[in-house]
Amino acid sequence: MHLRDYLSLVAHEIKLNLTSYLSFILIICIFFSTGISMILLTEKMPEVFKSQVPDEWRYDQSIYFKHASHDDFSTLTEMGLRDVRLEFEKQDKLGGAYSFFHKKRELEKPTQITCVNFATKQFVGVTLVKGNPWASEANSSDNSDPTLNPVWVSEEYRKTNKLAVGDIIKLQGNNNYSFSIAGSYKISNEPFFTYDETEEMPELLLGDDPQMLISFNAGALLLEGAGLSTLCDGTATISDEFDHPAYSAKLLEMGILTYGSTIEALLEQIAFVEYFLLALFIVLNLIGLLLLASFISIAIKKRTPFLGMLKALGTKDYVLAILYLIIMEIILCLALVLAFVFGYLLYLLIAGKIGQFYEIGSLGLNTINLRNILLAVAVPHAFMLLAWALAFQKIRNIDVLRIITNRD
Amino acid sequence: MIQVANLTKTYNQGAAAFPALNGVSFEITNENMVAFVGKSGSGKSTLLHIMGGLESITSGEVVVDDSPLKGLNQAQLADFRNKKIGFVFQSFFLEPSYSVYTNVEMPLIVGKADNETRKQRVLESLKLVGLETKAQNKASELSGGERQRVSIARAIINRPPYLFADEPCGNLDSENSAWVMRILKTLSLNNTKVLLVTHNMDDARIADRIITLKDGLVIADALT
Ligand SMILES: Nc1ncnc2c1ncn2[C@@H]1O[C@H](COP(=O)(O)OP(=O)(O)OP(=O)(O)O)[C@@H](O)[C@H]1O
Ligand SMILES: [Mg+2]
Repeated sequence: MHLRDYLSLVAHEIKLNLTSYLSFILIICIFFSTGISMILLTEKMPEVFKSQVPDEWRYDQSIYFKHASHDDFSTLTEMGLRDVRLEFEKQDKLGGAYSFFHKKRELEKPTQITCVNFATKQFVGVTLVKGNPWASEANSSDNSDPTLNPVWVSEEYRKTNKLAVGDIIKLQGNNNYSFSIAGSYKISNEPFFTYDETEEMPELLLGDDPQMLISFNAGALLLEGAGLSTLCDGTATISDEFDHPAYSAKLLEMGILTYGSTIEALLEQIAFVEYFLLALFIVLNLIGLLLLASFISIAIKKRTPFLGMLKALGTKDYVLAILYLIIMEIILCLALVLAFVFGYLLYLLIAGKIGQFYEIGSLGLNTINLRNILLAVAVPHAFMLLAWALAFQKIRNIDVLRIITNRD
Repeated sequence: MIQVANLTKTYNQGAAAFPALNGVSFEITNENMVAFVGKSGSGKSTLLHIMGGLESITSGEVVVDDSPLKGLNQAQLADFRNKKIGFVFQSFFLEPSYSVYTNVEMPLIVGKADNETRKQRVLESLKLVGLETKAQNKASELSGGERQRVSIARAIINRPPYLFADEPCGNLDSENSAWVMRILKTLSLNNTKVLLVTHNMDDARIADRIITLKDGLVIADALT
């Protein structure tokens, strides 16, 4: 048959039962539009959860995760924290894994980051030094302040070309300052070392009190700038580390927030809600398919005499099946167009309610992007093909002789 | 040419098997109109359905214009029906919601004919059955006799070499029956071989040859 013949036959079939076709389109439109609103919501949920994180956190702040890893980056980025970088991730001596994220508007060279030792008040500061500063001995001009011009000479380093925890480094030309290597890390393949001024108590640092070394390793929170030693008022002890309420409170007070469990919970919630909404979308589409399959099967049954006559006249099964494929496609397209409109309205309604619930106002409009369109169009179509296979079988089973001989 | 050799047809294989045809053989070459007669249940319709590619063969051979029907699949049989056979049944099988015109046009739609051919042939066919004035009426608006004439017009629209009519006058009064028989006779004189199943001996005598069936066997075969 020519295309226009297909179309005119289809038009005739639909016209014959216009009201039932129209009401069916409206019925499955309800399911599709609800599904589409779910899809739209999946995109907004990270934003909802992000809204639960205070604004201060957004830029130039460090955040600390107790059990986060590289995998969480994408989610964090989705949450709008676009410049999140993993600064380092390490195992502390107490057995917990800590990840440190540093987020900056633009990440310039992290030449020097001060780590704070908050565990004991004896220690003023721990500085994380990037690169190989002791190698550029010749270029040093001002050696008085290691934080400004970090050039050191290490006896050990000179001998072995290696540095290890516990090594003492001395500032060149100033024997009053010496530092012990408290920890070594690799960040982006460059060596970083934490060290301590050992001016006053070098022995202590060299291992007399192992607890203190632990505190350097585990307790180093990356922060911009110096002068954070006020944190270390001795309120926290080594064993309770970050989780110490006094410590958290202090950080909060300073606008440096720790989101240990909160972030983890948020990440979990986001994943759960996304999967839940997607599953709901699939289920709604599945119901749409079942309805479509039964609607078409009723339609075919109703038109069996006509279809049987066409078959007797020599129409092949697949031609009749294409007829119903076109009918289904028309139903689906109309239902989807309506569903996009209703689904979007429904989304706005639900998003409004969610916004109220979280007290963040409206979630705003959602861009209908390629992913949403693909999902909303492809999934029902995949299901439609299933329904069509059933319809094809129904058509194949129409017994021409039964119709011709009136044997029913 | 239609050749039927040792044709049998058994319904419901197994315990409830029922033999509707028990070895039917004949050949139709020169006769333009052949009538099949016999008691109810003798296998006339079954025979016609098999020759028309609507029903499968249990054993034996049916060859229509040198092509054996036995090996054909469903799609090939559909093609065969569309090209070779026009069917007219006791019930008319018109689509009531379509116009007379579209009903008649349907085999051409299925057969992908072009617009010009369609128009010309539909009008020609309708003229032949005397219904050109009713072309735009819906099929549901016609009388029984008119409907049967429409179904004849539809059956011949593809200019099939064969027209199979299974009791085409079964539901008609004598006046309409006469109309229909006259049309069939005209067709048979104009390059369409007509195979007619009927109970009515008067109608059968219009044919050139009468084949009589009984219990699935040919018991008489004579030219008129
Ligand atoms: N699908 C079927 N299943 C089982 N038996 C069938 C079937 N079709 C026909 N028969 C049987 O085959 C026999 C021949 O049937 P057929 O319809 O060919 O008879 P007929 O000569 O056309 O009779 P009538 O003049 O009443 O139309 C009958 O006994 C009928 O009951
Ligand atoms: Mg019969």
